[in-house]
Amino acid sequence: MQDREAIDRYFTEQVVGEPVVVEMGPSAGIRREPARGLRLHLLEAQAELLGHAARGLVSPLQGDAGLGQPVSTHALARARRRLLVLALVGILALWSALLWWLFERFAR
Amino acid sequence: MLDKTQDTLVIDPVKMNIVNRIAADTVLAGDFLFKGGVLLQGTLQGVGEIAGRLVVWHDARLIGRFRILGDLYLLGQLGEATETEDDVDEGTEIECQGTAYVASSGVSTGTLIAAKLRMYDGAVLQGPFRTLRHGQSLPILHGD
Repeated sequence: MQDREAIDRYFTEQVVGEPVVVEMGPSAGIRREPARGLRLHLLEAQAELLGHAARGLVSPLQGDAGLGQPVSTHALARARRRLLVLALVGILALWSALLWWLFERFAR
Repeated sequence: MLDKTQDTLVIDPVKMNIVNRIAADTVLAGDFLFKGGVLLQGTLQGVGEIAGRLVVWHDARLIGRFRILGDLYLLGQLGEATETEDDVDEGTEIECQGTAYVASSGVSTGTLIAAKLRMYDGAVLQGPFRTLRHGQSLPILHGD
């Protein structure tokens, strides 16, 4: 018995092709959208970018950044660096808090 | 090597369900119904509906009246080539239910209707653009 999904996938890969990366244009794109909800949409875009960056931290293939939705590689790299710094600061803060608690607990 | 000042798009046919391809230098004319996305590298002319995403590749051309139920990525041309920069191809009207991404190489001489538009510096919208409102959108039914 043949797996139809596997056959479809095979033909898609063979006929339509392998994943490709294309350049869309300069990152400072122009958005023309309904004015209502624009701010919310921008926040959503920022959150999405951070999501891509976070997934990219744990995946060598950089998650699914740019899949079906163009992203700025520059902004993605910047978001990734910010996340790394924040994570390091967070770990340091937690470590300091733990040391302080241990000191307080056992020093008396 | 990718330029870091550019937005990049990853086109993964399997993950994006782009299961149809019209190869470069191929010309199709008629009445179409595509189930799934289309990678257009040749010329598609006529009337139809694409139940998925449409990628109009560099040097590809889409002419006629089409409804796209997903996103549109325009790197090539929508509508016939016109003699002057002010002319509009009245015979081309593309309705996109998702977001229309017009790359810096994209040119539209026809009417483009989309829920959202994102265009890059260098893109040419020679024809009109209209926003597709929610009331105008077709309901998309999901069957199990």
